[in-house]
Amino acid sequence: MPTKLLACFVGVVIGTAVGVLPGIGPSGSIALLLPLTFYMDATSAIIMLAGIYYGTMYGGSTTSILVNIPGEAQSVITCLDGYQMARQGRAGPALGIAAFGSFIAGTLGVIGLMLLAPPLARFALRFGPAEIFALVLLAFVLVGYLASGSMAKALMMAVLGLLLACVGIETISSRARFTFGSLHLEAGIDMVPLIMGLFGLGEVLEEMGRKAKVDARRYTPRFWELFPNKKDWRVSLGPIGRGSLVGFFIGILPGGTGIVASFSSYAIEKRISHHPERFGQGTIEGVAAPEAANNAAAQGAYIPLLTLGIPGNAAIALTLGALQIHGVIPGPLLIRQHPEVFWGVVASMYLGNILLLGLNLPLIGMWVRLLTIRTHILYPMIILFCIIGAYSVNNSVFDVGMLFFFGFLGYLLRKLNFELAPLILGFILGPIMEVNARQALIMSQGDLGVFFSSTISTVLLSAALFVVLSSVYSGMQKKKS
Amino acid sequence: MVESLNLSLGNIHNPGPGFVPFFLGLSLAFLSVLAFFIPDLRMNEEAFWDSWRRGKNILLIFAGLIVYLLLFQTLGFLVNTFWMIIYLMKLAGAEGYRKSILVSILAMVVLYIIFYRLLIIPFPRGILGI
Repeated sequence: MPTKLLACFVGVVIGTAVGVLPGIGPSGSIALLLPLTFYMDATSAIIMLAGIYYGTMYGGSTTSILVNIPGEAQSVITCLDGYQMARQGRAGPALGIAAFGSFIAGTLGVIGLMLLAPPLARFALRFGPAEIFALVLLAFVLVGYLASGSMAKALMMAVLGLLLACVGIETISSRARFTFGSLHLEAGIDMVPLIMGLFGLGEVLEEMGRKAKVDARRYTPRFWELFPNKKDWRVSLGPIGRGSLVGFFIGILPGGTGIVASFSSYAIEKRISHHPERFGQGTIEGVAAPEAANNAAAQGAYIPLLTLGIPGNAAIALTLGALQIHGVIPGPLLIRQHPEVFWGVVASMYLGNILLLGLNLPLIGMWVRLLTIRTHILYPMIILFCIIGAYSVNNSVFDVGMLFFFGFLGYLLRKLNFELAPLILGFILGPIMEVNARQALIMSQGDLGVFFSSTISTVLLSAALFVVLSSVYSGMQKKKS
Repeated sequence: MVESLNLSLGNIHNPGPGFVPFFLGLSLAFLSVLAFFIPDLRMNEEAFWDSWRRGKNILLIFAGLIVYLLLFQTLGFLVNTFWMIIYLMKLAGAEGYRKSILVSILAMVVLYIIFYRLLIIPFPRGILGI
């Protein structure tokens, strides 16, 4: 028990730090800490990684509000009203409502996770290979659809990830392709240098290419200024509630990250508000809603992982990887076979949210000071950490080479505006999709009708088709105008 | 794609190991062609080359990392990492050598204690034996 508490604490502290520091995202930091989890048990590992993930959702808002630089992508929208509030001398309430809103939404999210996951897992027991194949296909299409850039580019990355997954397995043993357990293990071994390279090293390289200095202390409020007044609370409660709901359900969708959640909830608040013109001028609803949404999304994102074994975004995919390395295969049976993992995570999330509230409000000055760490010390240290991580998995210099290769690849792809999340999803979901498609075909003795033989898979496949058609249609509409 | 053809391709009713890679290659080719021909999907070339020039640092970093990789076995992890951190710190904009060397030595001590003494990861020792 104490080790799990420690794992939770370490996770949320690192998460907040990473959230505050611009440039290093949750995926990158989870990749960096992946090797550390090899020395823990599976439950502590997922508790810590989950702590990092939702911790960044808290930390990300701080720099958005104080210096107009989003700590993370999902806090971009918080800049709009948050920084305006800071300029009007209301940085305290802005930070306060962001933290309280995050806390409320995070807790609601955990409750949702707790209530929804077990029945969903029971339902998912009915999923055969055909259904899982259909679901993964839908996930890929949704990832492309929800991508912030172009759909074709996102799908290219997904396909590249799928190809990389094939290589990983075939070079090790082509026979292992037909056995479930060892296949995951073998894909997992190659995963660490790949992910550390693409996210850890790639992110640092991109940051080293540019130079930025920030002065965050100008608006940093004192502790007693952090509490929103009664009026702030009255106008914020609605947005927080709606943000939590929207964020949670977007989080469940594959590809539905905190970014999508925060943008959607901001758009919704602006539409239903009586004073839409105040948005962007420093209104507190514009901070409360997106911050609540991205936290709820962070909890919702664990539902497909823990019930279906299908990760919806890059950070969750990394968590899946960590669990696989421990031999815990997330899926419909997880809650029954490893109840300690599921309930451990749920319990740690309640606790983690309380810890984060305590960490963020009184210690805000400390986190802001973090921004003054010299990047020329920080970045070489991160590269060093990547090297050690990649090396220590297999004690192989070849893996360090792989790390550098993927680091460079990650840098180039970032520069060319490709998103890397679909690549990781492809890499991790690829083997699941391939094996299930082939099992379904083997069971049906080659009859393609197997993918339409059950209601579940037919619905999933038609949903996938619908998403593709609707995005092609809207693309054509756009071209016309 | 050529690689996957060498593996038995199988057919759609009884796919072999090369079946999925083949079609993945096919779809990647298709998507690239799509991205190439649809003008608004093409990346902004100007911006790309502009950032490329600024990214000269990145190339230097990579040259350093490749040298690091080549010397990994010969020099041993600690010695090799020692110069690399100084090199990276200079590239990241550190002024003067004294501070870089100090940070690097500090990192070495921490690394030695954690990874050589506590976790006992068999890093290559290199010619100096450390």
